[in-house]
Amino acid sequence: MPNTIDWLHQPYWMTMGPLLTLVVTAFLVMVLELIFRNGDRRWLTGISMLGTLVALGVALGHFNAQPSQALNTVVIDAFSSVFSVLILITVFLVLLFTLDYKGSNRLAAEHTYLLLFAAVGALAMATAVDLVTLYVGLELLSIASYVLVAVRRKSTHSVEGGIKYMLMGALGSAVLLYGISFIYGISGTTNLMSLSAVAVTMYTTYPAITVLGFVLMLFGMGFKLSLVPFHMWTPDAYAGAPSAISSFLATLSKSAAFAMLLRMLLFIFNGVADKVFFWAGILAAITMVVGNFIALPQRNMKRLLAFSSVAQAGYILVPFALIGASTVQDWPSLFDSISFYLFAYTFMTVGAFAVVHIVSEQKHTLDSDALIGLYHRSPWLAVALSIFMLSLAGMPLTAGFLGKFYIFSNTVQLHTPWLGIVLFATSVVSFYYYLGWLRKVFQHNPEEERVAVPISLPMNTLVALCVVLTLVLGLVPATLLHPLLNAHWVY
Amino acid sequence: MTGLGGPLFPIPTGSLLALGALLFCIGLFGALTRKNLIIVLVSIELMLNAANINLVTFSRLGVNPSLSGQVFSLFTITVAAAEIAVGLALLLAIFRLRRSSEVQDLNVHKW
Repeated sequence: MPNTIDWLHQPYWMTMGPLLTLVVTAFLVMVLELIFRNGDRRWLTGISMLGTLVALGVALGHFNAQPSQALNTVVIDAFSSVFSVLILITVFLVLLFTLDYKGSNRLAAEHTYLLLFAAVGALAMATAVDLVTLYVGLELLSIASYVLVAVRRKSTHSVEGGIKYMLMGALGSAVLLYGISFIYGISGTTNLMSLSAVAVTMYTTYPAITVLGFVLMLFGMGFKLSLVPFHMWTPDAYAGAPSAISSFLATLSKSAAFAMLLRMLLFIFNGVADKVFFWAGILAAITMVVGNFIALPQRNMKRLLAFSSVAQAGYILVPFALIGASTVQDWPSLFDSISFYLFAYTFMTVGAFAVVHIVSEQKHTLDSDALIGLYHRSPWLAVALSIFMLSLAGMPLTAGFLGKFYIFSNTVQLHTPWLGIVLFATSVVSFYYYLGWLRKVFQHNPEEERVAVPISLPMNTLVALCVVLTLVLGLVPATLLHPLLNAHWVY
Repeated sequence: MTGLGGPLFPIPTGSLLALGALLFCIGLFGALTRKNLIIVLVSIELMLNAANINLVTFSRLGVNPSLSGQVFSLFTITVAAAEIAVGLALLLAIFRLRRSSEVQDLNVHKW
């Protein structure tokens, strides 16, 4: 029985630093929200942002730390640090976004700590190495997200989006859990380290069950990642939720789900990668094709961004498929591609949702015709939206182009050119709808009197931050690539 | 069979897994075809319970029997309860707005 002092000095407090900081902040905000019932309570968001920044500082400090683990459950390695930093930056941006909701437009005050709890779940997904913890983290994120989508409970759009997301999400969890149960059955452990040690034995003894487990886990996560054909909830949930929550769903829950999928599949199926990972390639190809083509006729701005996020998830799934065609030496380069693309995707998507939010609040419609003449109403927003759209489409000199370029060069290096060709061809299709918006933005609308678009300070800051980060990643990619290249990826 | 004491009469692992698979398929079929939201939620519960049956079976009769399967199923039961609580809350919210709990009435989002 260790005495109290030893217990307090255990290194695992530091290992779980970002997670614990965020948990404490979330509970603090929850209690404060209960005590102070009146007035403008946006200062609670301020406290949440402060807590997120502290957690971000701790996570950044982990970058150069020795890999370590706590209780066989939570680890620090480059993988967890990179994804923790991404998740915390995203939470910060989304909290900044929610500051814009005030007065009659305000969200129920619960959204602040629900966002934090969702972020705690996301951090657990990025740092845990035990299937139980990963599953609980995933559910914490999902259940908080269902409530967040339906946060406007008097609006049919919002609640209906929430209900569809909840049904599909729960279905996905059940499929994932069924797959996990088989993997547990043929290995007898839920710890990913032990699982990676028995991966090859597992496959040689029970090949069919291993493949079944892989497919069920991939499909279960496919619901959360809105991969085709599990994507039908995506446009409804994104369009029904307030824009800040849509941007949260599009970025944070996707980054966390990708982190969890990568960690699970790598540890459990590392020895037999060449036999199972082609399933991810098929799913990626279908997702890229369907996501891009279905986005073409969309007129609702948030539905279009939803389908664009479906297509983007397809691009990010390509390196997963390549794991099967590669050796262990190639894996760091694949991780680099995945995390670089996720960073770039996060900044441009949050930025795009922010601009859509400002425009639709002024025009009271989500139809993309609201963008007509935006350049004459607000040149700054027009230029920012152009940068986000060009980056999402993958124009050179933007972060999106570099992300796609790295993934494309991976496909060529690893002799899977057909995936690269699908990626390239579907990106060309996506130019049609991304540039369609730009045409409207710079179009002249003679009938309209030029009312300048009102932009609040938080939104100005948010758009500026996203523009700067997208440009920095596009023009000086080494700022992110350098730390990624030097990372020791897996514990 | 070690440590935990043998069963009163032996049940083959295969039958338990078949029960799990059957429950999972019934649940999936129900979740995809039923029209009433409450039945859909019940079907999803069935699927989660199929996974629980698998976990408990494997923790007793699996390749390497261990307790973590049973612990895992306790976590799943708790999480499923939370999920269904949120599900029923959302169902109440939509019922207040639309006076209906049928799937086909969830139609305000247009293509």
